Amino acid sequence: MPLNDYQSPLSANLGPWQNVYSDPATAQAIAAKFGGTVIPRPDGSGNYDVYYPKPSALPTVYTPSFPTVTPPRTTALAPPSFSAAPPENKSNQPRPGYLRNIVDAFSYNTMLFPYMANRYFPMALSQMEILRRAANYRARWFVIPDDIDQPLQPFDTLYFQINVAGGSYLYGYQFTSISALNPSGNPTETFNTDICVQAVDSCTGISLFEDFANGGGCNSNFTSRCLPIPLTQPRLILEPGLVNVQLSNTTPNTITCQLLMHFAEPCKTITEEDRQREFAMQNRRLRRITEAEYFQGVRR
Amino acid sequence: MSSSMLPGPNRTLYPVNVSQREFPPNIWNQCIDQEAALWKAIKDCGGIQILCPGHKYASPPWQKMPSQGKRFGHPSSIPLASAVLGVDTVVQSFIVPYGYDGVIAAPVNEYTGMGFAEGSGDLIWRIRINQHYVKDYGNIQTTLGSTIQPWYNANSQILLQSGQLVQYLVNRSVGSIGNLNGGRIICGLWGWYWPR
Repeated sequence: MPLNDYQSPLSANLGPWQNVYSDPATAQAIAAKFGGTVIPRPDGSGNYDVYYPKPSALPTVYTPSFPTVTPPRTTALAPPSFSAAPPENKSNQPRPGYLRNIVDAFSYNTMLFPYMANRYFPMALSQMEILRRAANYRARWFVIPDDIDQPLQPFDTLYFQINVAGGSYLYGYQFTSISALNPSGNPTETFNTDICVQAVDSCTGISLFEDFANGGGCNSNFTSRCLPIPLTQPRLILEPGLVNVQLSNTTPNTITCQLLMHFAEPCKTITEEDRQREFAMQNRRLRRITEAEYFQGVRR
Repeated sequence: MSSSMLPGPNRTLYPVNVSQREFPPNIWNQCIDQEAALWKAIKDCGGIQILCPGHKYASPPWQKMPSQGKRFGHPSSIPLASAVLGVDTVVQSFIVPYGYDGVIAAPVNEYTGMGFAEGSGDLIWRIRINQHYVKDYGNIQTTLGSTIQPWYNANSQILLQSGQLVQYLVNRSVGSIGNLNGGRIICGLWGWYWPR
C-alpha cells in the first residue's frame, strides 16, 4: 500500500483517518469496505471525504471541524457516526492509516514547531513508518571519510566507497565542515558551504542528488533543529551494498570535514535450528576431511 | 543467559550478541521484502537504465564517438592583463546541451607570454563543472598540452551530463607581478556529445 495515501501519524492522532476522493462511487466503495462515512467536501470542490472512526481501543471524542466555506453553507452538515469500530485488518497488509507516532531515536528535533503537519520533517518521518516498525533492523552510521583527520586538499575531490549490508536502507544524512588551513598553512574559518557532497548507489548508478549538493544544505545541527536530515523515502541499497561518496572542496583551503550517513541494516535472526544445521554441516565437512586423510593419506 | 538456566526447548532462540534482535519478522518486514524483491527484479533485468527509454550504444559512447555524436571544441583565450590578480577568471564557459551527455577528451591550457615557470603557481588553471571542481583538474599549475597537440589521454576523460555548466578558470597569483610579461592565457576543451 503506498505510503502517501495516508496522513502522517501525528495528525492521525488528532482525529480519524480522512481520505479525499474525487469520484463518489470510489468514495462509497472505500467507505463501505472499511466502515467509513462519506461526506461531500463543503468547499464546493466536488471532492468527497471518507472518515474513519478510530479503533475501539483508542476512544477519542472527535468533533469534525471544517474550514470556512465560500459561499457559506446554508444547510447543516450531518456529523459522521462513529458508533462502529473499523473492521479488523484480516488481510496480510498493514493499515498505515492507523499508525500512531512512535517514540524512538530515529530522528531528533529540538523544536515542537517542525512536528506540525504539512512540514517536511513529519512528512518525511511518516515515510519511514514501515522501516521504523520492521523488526530485525538496526542503525548503522557510516562516516566519510572514516579518518576525520584526513584533509581535503584545495579544489580536490575525495572519493570514498562504503560497504553496507545488502538490503540496507539509507534514511538520513548530515554533514559538517570541521576545520581548515589556508594556503599559508594557518588555521582559518571554514563553512559547510565550502564542500559539495554527492553519493551514488554503485549497484544501480542512481545518485542521491541530481548533482553535487552544497554542504550547507546537508548540514544538520541544533541550529537547523533536525538530526539527521531525513530523506523523503528510505533508499534501498541492494547487493553488493556499495555506495560511492564524493566530497568536493571548492576552496583553496585544506579542509577536514565529515559526512555521516544513516543506514538501517538488516539483522539476520539466527535460530537454534540454524545453528544446529550449521554445526551439522561443519561436522560433515570435518568428517570428510578426516576420512580422506585416513584412507588416502592426503594432508590438507 | 545464565549458566544456571536450563536450556530451552528445541528451536529456542539464544541471541549470540547484544545486537541480535529476537523479534521475528512482522508485516512491516513483508512490506520491505516486497520492495526489495521488486528492486531485485529490476536489477536482474539489467537495472533501471535498461527499463528507461533512450539510446543504447553498442560500446561506451565516452570511448568512441557514436554516429549521432556531436564534436565540440572550445579554445578560448584572454590577454594576461584581463586575468584579475588572485581571483578565478573565467576563460571559457559553456553549457552541455540539454538531452546530450558528453565527454572532454582533451583539455589544453597554456600561456603564450614570457616568464612563466611551470609549477610556480603564478598561473593556476581549474576546470569546474557546475559548482565543483573536476578531480585532479582543480589546481593545475603547469601547462597542459598545446593548441597544436592537445593533451589527449583516454584515461583522463571527463564525463559531462546534460545541462552542466563547464568552466575553465585561471587564477593569476599576486606574486606573479614582474614574472609574467604579455601574451595570452589559452584554455581549450575538446570532446564530443551524444544524445541520451
